[in-house]
Amino acid sequence: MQTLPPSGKTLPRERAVVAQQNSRRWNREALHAYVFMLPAILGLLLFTLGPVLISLWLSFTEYNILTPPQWIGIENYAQMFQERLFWQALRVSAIYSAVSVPLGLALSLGLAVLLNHAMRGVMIFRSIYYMPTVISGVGVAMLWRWLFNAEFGVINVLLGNIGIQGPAWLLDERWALSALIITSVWGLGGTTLIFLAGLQGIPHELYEASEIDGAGRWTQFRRITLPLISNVTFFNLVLGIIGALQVFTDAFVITRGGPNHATLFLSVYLYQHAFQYLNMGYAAAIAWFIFVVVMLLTLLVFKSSPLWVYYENERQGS
Amino acid sequence: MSMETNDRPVLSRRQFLRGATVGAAGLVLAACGGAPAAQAPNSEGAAPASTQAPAQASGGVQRIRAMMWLNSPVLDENFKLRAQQFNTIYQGQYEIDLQLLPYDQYWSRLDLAYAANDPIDTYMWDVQAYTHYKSGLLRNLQADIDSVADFANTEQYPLELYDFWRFDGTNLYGLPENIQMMALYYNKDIFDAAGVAYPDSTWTYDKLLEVAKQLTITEGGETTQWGFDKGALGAWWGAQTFGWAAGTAFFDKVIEPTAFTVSDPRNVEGLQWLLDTVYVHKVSPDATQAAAIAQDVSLFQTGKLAMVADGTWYMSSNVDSPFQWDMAPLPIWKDQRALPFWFGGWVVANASKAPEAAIAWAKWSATDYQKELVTNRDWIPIRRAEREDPAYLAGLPTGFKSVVDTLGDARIGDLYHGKSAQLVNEVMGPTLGEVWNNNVTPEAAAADIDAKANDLLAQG
Repeated sequence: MQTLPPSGKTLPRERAVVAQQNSRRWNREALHAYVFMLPAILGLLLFTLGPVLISLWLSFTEYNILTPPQWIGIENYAQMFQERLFWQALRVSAIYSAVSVPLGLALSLGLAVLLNHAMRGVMIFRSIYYMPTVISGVGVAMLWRWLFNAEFGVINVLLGNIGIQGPAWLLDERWALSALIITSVWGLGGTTLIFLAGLQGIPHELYEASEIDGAGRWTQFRRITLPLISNVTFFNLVLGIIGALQVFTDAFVITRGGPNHATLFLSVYLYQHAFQYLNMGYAAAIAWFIFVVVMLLTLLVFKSSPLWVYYENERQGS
Repeated sequence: MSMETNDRPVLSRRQFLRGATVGAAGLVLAACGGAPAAQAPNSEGAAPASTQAPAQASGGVQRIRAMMWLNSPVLDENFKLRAQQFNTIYQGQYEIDLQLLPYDQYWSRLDLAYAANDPIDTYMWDVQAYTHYKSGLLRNLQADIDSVADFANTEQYPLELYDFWRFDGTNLYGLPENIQMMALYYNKDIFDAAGVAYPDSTWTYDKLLEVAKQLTITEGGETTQWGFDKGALGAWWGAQTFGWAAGTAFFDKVIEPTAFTVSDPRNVEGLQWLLDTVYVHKVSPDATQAAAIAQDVSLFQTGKLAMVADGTWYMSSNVDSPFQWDMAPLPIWKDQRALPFWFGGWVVANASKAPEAAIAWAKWSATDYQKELVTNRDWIPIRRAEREDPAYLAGLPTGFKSVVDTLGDARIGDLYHGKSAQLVNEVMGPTLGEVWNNNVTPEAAAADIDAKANDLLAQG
C-alpha cells in the first residue's frame, strides 16, 4: 500500500502525469461543452434577456422609435396610473381572468373525467376536443366573429330556436367580454389533456378500496380524484393565469378592443400604444406592469399551494 | 509540484458566462446604435444639410426606394406601371424601387426604416406621417416646389387648399398629386323603379330624408330596401361636415388643435340627424341590420340600399355592381354645403440619400403623370387640366363632375396632432360608435368626447 508523501513534498511522477492528462481532457471537454452551449446562451442573452433589460430601460424613457429615447424617470408609470383607459384595460383583464380561468379549469376537468372513461371511440373524442388547440388562433377568432354575429350567427340562431332573443354579442359592450370568455373556453383541449394525464396517474386501487368502504362517486371525486390531481390543477392554474393576462389574439381579431373599450385587454392596450401611437416607452411600462402582476399572482398561487396541493413525496416524508 | 500541473488558464463557468454576456451586450448595442438623428421641422424653406448626402449612385444612376399601401389589384398594378414608366423615362438618371404593402404594415415598415436610420426615400402621405413631420424627418419641399413655375399656377393647382398642408404655416412637406372627396352615391335602378328624380347639387338633407322615406320598403314588418345609409358620414370627419356647414367644427383648428368643441349644439344637431335616420325615421339600417344584409360586400353593393355617403375612392368598388348607379354632391345643410377632402401626395425623407431622385418622382407624379391618371381613372388628378379633361370625365359616372365642382366647399378631413391616432382611436371612434349603436345620446357623447379629447390635448 502506497502512503501519501509528507506534506510539502512532490507527488510521484506517474501521478502527476495522469493528473495533467486528466486536467487537459477536462479542459478540452469543458471547451467543447461551452462551444455547444454558446448558441443557446447567446440566444438567451441576445433575444430574451437583452430585450427584457432594454424594455426595462425604455420604460423609463419617452421613445417613439423615430427619435432617440429621452430619459423621463418614472413618468410613464405615473401617467399609466392616471390613464382612464389603463384602468379600463386592467378591469377587463381582471374580469376575464377571474371568470375564464376557473371556468376553463372546471370545464377542462369535467371533460377530462368524461374522456377518462373506457368507452368506445374515446380516442376520437380526445382528438376532437384537442383539435381547437392546434388550429391557428387568428382562424379561430375569425370563426367566432361569424358565430357571434347578432343576426345570422349560429349562436343567436340556436338561441332563437328555443325562443331566446340573442344579444348583439360583439356590438354590445355589455356582452362583448362574455363572448370572448366563451371563445376562450372553447380552446380547453390542452388543459383537458394535462388533466387527463393526471387522472390516469391515479392508482385504481384507491377507488376500489374506497368502494369497499362505501364511498360514492361524488365522494371518490372529492376525496381521491381532486387531491391526487391537485398538482396538475396547480400547474394548469398557473399557466391559465399567465395566459389569461396575456390574451391578445381573440380581442384583437374579434373586437379590436371594442365596443367602447369593453374588450380592451392590457395586451391590446399595450399593442395600441406600442404600434399605433408609437409610445414605445409607455408600452414598455405597461409590459412591465403586466409582468409584475403575473409574477405576484404566480407567487400567490405558489405560496398558497401547501394549503391545497397534495404531493405524495411530501406526505411520505412527513 | 502541485496537483494543478496544467499552467494554461482554465475557462471557468463564470468567466464563460461573463464573456458571453459582454459579447451579447455588444451585439445588442451595435444593433441599437442606429437611432436616427432627427431634426426640428425646417421652417426656413431651405433643404437641410442631411439632404445633401451623396446619392446611392451606381454608374451615375440614383436609386431610391418608394412605398405605397395596397389598395386593389387594379390600383396596385397601376402603381407598379407608374414606377416602370418613371424608370423608363429617367433611365440612366434615376431608378425607383416601389414597394406596396398592406396599410397597417406600411406604417410599421416606414417607422422601422426610420428607426434603423435607413428611411424609405419617398412615400405616400397619410395623416400618420404627421408624426414624421413633427419628428423633423420630412424634407421641406417648398424650395423644390417653387422651382417649378407650373406649381404656382392657381388655374391648374388648387393652391388655396394646399394651406392645410403647410404645417409650419409657410412650407409644404408633401407634394399633392391627387385629391379625394366625399359624395352621395345612389342606386339609379331603385330611383327609376320608384319614379323619383335623382339627387343633384340642389339637394338638402331634408330632401334626402324625404326621398329616403319614399324609397324605404317594409314588407311584413321587415325592411327589404333601405332609403339611406350614413356610410362614411358616420366617421368623425363625415359627421363633422354638419358642424362645418352650420359654422362650427369638432375642434378649433386642424393643425395642432387646442380645444375640442363637439358639444357645440350645431355639431350635436348633425349627429342627432344621422341617428334619427336609423331609430326615428327608420330609413337607415342599424349596425346589426346592416351586417345581416351585407356579408361579403358593402351594403350599397347588395342593391338593397338607395343612397349612401362615401369617399370618391368608393367608385372603384362599385364598378362591377349589378345595377346602375351614379353619384351626386353631398347635400346642403343649413343653407351651406360642406364636405371633407384629402390630398394624396409624396413626402421625401430628410435623410434620403438620393433626394434629387425622390423629388423628381414626386414632381413627375404631380405633372406629367397626371395624364396617365386620366387614362387609369383610379385617382382624381390634382391638376385641373386633367381633372376636367372630357376624356377623363367620359369614363366616370355622370355626376362626378358635379361632385368635383363642390371642391370649393371642401375642407381637409384630417386632424394634425401628435396624439391624433389616440384622439381618433380612443376617443372619437369608440364614442361615436356608441352613438350609432344608440347606447348613448349625441349630447352625452359629444360632452364625453370633448372631456376626454381635451384631457389628451392637455397632456401635450
